[in-house]
Formats: sequence, structure tokens, C-alpha cells
Amino acid sequence: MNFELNDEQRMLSESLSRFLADRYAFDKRQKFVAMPTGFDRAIWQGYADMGLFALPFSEEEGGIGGTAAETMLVAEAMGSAITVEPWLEAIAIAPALLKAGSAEQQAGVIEGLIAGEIVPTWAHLETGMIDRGEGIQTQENGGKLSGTKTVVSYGEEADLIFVTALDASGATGLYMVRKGAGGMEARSYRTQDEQRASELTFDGTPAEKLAGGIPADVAIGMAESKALAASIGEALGAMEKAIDLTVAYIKEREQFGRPIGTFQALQHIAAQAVVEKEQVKSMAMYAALMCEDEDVTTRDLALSTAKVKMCDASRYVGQMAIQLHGGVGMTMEYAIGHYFKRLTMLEIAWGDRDFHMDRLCEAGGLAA
Amino acid sequence: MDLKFTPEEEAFRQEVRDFIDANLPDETREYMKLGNPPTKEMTIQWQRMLNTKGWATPRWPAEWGGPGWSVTQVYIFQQENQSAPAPDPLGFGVNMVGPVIIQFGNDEQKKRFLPRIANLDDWWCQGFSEPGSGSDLASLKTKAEFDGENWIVNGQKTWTTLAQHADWIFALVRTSNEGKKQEGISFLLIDMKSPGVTVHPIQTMDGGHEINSVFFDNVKVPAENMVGEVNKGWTYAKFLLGNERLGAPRVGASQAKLKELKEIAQKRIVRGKPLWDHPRFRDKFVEAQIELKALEMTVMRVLSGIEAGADQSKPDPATSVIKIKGAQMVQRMTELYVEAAGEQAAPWIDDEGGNALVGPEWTVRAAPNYFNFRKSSIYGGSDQVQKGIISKAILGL
Repeated sequence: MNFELNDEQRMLSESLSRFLADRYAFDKRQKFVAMPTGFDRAIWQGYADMGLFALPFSEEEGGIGGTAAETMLVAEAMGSAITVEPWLEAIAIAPALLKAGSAEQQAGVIEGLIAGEIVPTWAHLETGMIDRGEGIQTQENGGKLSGTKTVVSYGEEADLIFVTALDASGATGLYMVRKGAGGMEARSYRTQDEQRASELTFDGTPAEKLAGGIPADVAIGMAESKALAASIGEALGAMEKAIDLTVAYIKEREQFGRPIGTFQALQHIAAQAVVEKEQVKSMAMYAALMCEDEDVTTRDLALSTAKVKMCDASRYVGQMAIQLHGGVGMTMEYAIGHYFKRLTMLEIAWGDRDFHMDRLCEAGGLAA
Repeated sequence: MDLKFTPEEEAFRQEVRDFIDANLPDETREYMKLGNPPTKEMTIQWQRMLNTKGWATPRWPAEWGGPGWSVTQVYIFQQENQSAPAPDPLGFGVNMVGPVIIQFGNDEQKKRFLPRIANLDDWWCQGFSEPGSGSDLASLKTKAEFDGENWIVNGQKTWTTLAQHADWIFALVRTSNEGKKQEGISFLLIDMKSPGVTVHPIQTMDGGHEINSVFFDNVKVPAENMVGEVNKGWTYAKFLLGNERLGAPRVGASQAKLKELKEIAQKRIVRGKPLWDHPRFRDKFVEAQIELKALEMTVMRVLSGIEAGADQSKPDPATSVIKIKGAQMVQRMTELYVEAAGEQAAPWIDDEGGNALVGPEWTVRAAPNYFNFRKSSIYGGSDQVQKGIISKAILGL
């Protein structure tokens, strides 16, 4: 049992934080999100040059062989800068989904991912989907997809779209669709937290089935687990920064002739936020260490536990940050509101609090 | 980072479990399982048994009889001991005054006191709070004046836990009124049998006698009983409180209580079906499990940092987080037991044992434990004091 980072992990975390401090200050971020693509491809290339996209792949695959701990550190740094690129899809989701494919299929994509040439996304959710997995309507027939996917992160901008669909026998499968494929229509929009997403409609869209690897449903479970674990790390980073911004603000802001941070009522609210954040830090590590557990039930229940804690803490920290900023916290101009919005979207992503409470309650809680 | 226990650690867990199973008296286990705090005799008997194995002082350095365990081993030991359930080694000695003597005491004091603390030959109690000095501990007034040979102590301590059993008290005393109030405090070891020491019981609202007032009337304390330097006691006290906070959560005990609560809920029929099948109860149970897991991970994270070489002579502000959450956890657990007992929590059973048992045996302690454990967010620095520490030490407010 050991919670300490090794030197490589510390270096990874520090170099990414430095990169983001140089290139991703809040005013720059606001310029990126105003671009037509919703993010800056040069930043994406910067991530690739740092080796971030090589992390999830083994050395034989041309990667670095990182673990979920490295993913967590990346996510934490990304959360701290509220970055908007679909890096989660690149470092957590695509590598897991690809495992459903043959060695050739994997090799054909991995190189482009590592180099930063491929921006991936996952068209998974559907409006009628129950329990994040059952009730899929999108259908594959003769190598062509039909159906509609909802809230696909950068669905229009992505180069490679992984699609969850049923095959002719009704089994869940994973398919790859290239950007600009025929019969695909995107209705795209900006999200609350200034990312972009699309409603993707497939109508006889040519798709390549991932086959020859692990079963698709197993790969989907892995992708969701890794994404959920990473999103807790991301929320941690956002909470840390939200607390930093808030504390800096209440040290400066004066009312009644003194900095408002000298008032005990405010101090105790900020201190409670630290308590919540520290718990999330522990849970982000727990999630990272459990998200690859071979026992699927153990894995899922551990992740649900971490997610519920993250939801409660996100809400507390986000709301307190706005409250302590007062009026300026309400503005688009100040950074803090953007942290609050991102935290709120992270609460919803990868199963909301109720979904995870249900999963835990139905299982009778964690095994003692 | 690695959460998994190694095969060696798993083997160690089995060794601890086997030792407890072979040596813990059934009577103690059954008594504690019902939610009773262990009696004095049970605590002494078990700590001496642990001491024969060298396990009574898990975090002490090997030089002073510690077992030389990693923090992971300490954690496993505590988890097993608490979940048995078996009495903890007496915290006032093993976790509080012992480490202070090891860190700041002289060789004489180490040789004289440490072996007796380990074997619980001396029962220690803690003389910090006073009637006028609770959260503002540094305002304490109990004074010690040096007459050339002895310290002469006068004053009153209060909320002194289990002083009725104690052979010794470690006390914060005022030795100077110059300068800042923190700079005139010393850490003195006082024999409870000294003339002029009297103990008055305080009954708490649960009916128990756990705490006391301790009065000092011209009590003579030999000069050699002063720990470290005169007027540096506040530093030692902060060190001690940091250790106390780290030990506060008793994760293993809460894990055992939750496991038992699930069994209780499965058996208990409420409005026509097991309590366990009531969704509102299930929610609360699962939420308590989530809190406990977060607490456990936070404790392990801090312990892991200590093992990796974090400076131990200064209190880690994260211990304040653990103190707050640890207190909430214990309190939440006691609430759930009252809720599970329902109306059967009502009968009051006094020391004379007037037989008012109407529910299963565990219902007897449900309400008293709930009332009693309101203490946990008050002692060792209240939640509000901890938040003050976080504001100052972590946030710089």
C-alpha cells in the first residue's frame, strides 16, 4: 500500500502543469473556445509532443506504458486549467475501446493517436438509453450504421468516431466511423462548459467493426471505468483551482474596511471546501487504483463510491466558490464561474449521483 | 501508487487475526460487540497480552520497544484489533504521552516511563482542558511554581477522561505569565497519588462516568518530572494533538460497526419487511459506507506520506481533515443505530441494571452511544477549532 508518486509521475505532472501555465491561461482558453473548432489544434499537438497520448499504450505498441495513476495526474492538471479538448477520449476511452479490435486494427489507429493526428470521440449515449448501456437503438447492418447518438463530445470535429451499436444478431458491438463518412449528419452545439458536442445521426453510414480482440461489452466497461476514474481526477483539479482562486479573492476583496477573508463565517466555509476536496483527492486515487480491477463488480462498486463522493464535493466546492466571490462570481468574465460550470457537467458525466447510488444500493453496498 | 496489499502484508494480517482469535477473551469480545466501552480490567488484560508480543506500541521506534512496523502494518493491526472488537491500547499512554516522551523527554524519563506505558502498569490521563480553557486551551491557568526543589501545582483540570483509573496525569501547566500565553506553558508529569490531588466524577448525559474534574491543591511534583524545556509545553501539546487527531477516526471499528448494522437491518422487521429492504435506510447505509471509504483512503494517504518521510515533528494540517471527518463518521454511525432501534431505543438502563430490556441486546447501547459520541466533534479541538487551523495553516487566511 503506497500513495506516493514516483519521480516519473511527479515529472509528468509538473511538465504538464508548466505547459498549461504557459499556454492555457484563462484568457487564452477563452480564445480557444471561440475558435470554430472549439479548441486549438496546436494545443492538441503540444499534448502529443509531450507524450500524453502515448501514455496509455504499451512500449510494444509504441507507447509509454502508463497506468491509471498517470491518467489521474493528467486529468488533475487538465481540470485545474479547465481545458476543453477531448483528451479524455484520447488517453482513456479510445485505448480501451480499441482492445475490441484485432492487432492490425489497433496498430492502424494507435500511431495516429500517439502522434496527435487523430482526435477521437465516442458516440455512445442515446436519448432512449437506459442504465448507460441497455436500450441501444443504433443498428449495424451489412457494415452500415443507422441511428442517432446524443451529446457526442466534438462529434463534428473528431477524426475518428467510435460508435456503440447492435449488430444484426442484437449483440453489442463497437464500430469505427471516419470523419466525413457518408450518411452522417451532425447537429452541433456549444455545451454549458464551453466544449462542443453533437447529435450524430447515421443513415447507412459505412463503419468498420472492431473485431478480433476482447468482447465489445468488456471493452465498453473498461472505457467507462477509466473515463469515470479520470473524470474524478479532473474534478479534483478543478476543485483545487476553484479553492485557490476563491481564497486569493477573499484575501483581497475588502468590505467593512477589511479583507472579507478575515471573517470567520467565510473562513469556515472555505475550510469545509478543503475538507471536501481532500476527500476527493483520496477518492481520485482510490478510483485510479480500482478502475482496472479484474473483478468487474468490485471495480464498478468502488468507482460508484468515488463518484458519489465526488458529486457531493463538487457541488459544495462549486457553490461555495461562487458564493464567496459574490457578485463577480456570477459573471462570464471571471474564471470562477467556468470552474463551477465544468464541475457541474462532471457531476452528470459517466453516470450521475443517482445512477451510482442505485448501483451501490442494489448490490447491498460495498463488500465489507 | 499502489493500493493492493502485498502477500507479506496479507500474511501479516492473518498473523494478527490468528493472535487475536487465540488470545482475546470471549467475554471481552462479546461485551464490546454490544457497543460497550471496554472496562478497565479488559483494557489492561488485553494490552498486557499485546505487549507480550511487542504489539502494544505499534508506532513507537524499535529502540523503545516498538515492533518496527511499516505504516501499512500499523494500519492492518489497528483495523484487525478494532474490528475484533478488542480494546485499543490505551491512547493516553501509547499515542499521547509516550510519543511526547520519546520525542522530547530525557533518557531518565524514557527508561522510567516507557516500559510501564507499554505494559499499562501506569494508567495515564490527560490534563489539558480547564473550566475556563476549552477551545482557547492556551489560556489555561493551572499554575506550577518552582520552590527550588519541586514544582508546586495549584488549579483545576476538567473533562479528564478515565481519571478515576489513572496512576499518572500529563498536564499542561502555567509556568510563566510573561509574553504570549502559549510561551508560558510547560508539560508536567504528575503522580495521581500525590497529596493534594483529588478526582471528582462528572456524569455525562448518557449516564456514564467517563470524565472527571481533577483538582490540584499545593501538589508537589519533583523537578525531574518536567518534560523537555520549561515554557515549551505548547509545542509538545501541538505535537500530541496532531497524533491524537490522526488516531481519531478508528476506521476499523467503524467498518465492524457497519458490517454489524447490515446484519441487524437484515433481521429487523419494520413495517412488515426487513429494515434492510427499506430504500431510505439503504441509502443512508450506503452513504455511510461511502464516507467511511473516503475517510479510510484519507487516513492511508496521510500515513503513506509519513512513511515516505514527511516531517513528523510538526502537525500535518491534513490531520484536521481527518479529525473532522472521523468525528462525523463515528457520530453518523451512532445515529444509524438509534434509527435502526426505533422505539426500542427508549428504555433507560442504569448502572443498577434495572431490567428494561425490550429489544435485542444491541438496542441497549444505541441511544447512550449516540448521546455520548457528540463528544467526538468537541474533544481534541472541536470542528470549529479544526476549521480555524485549516483556514490559517492551509489557506493562509
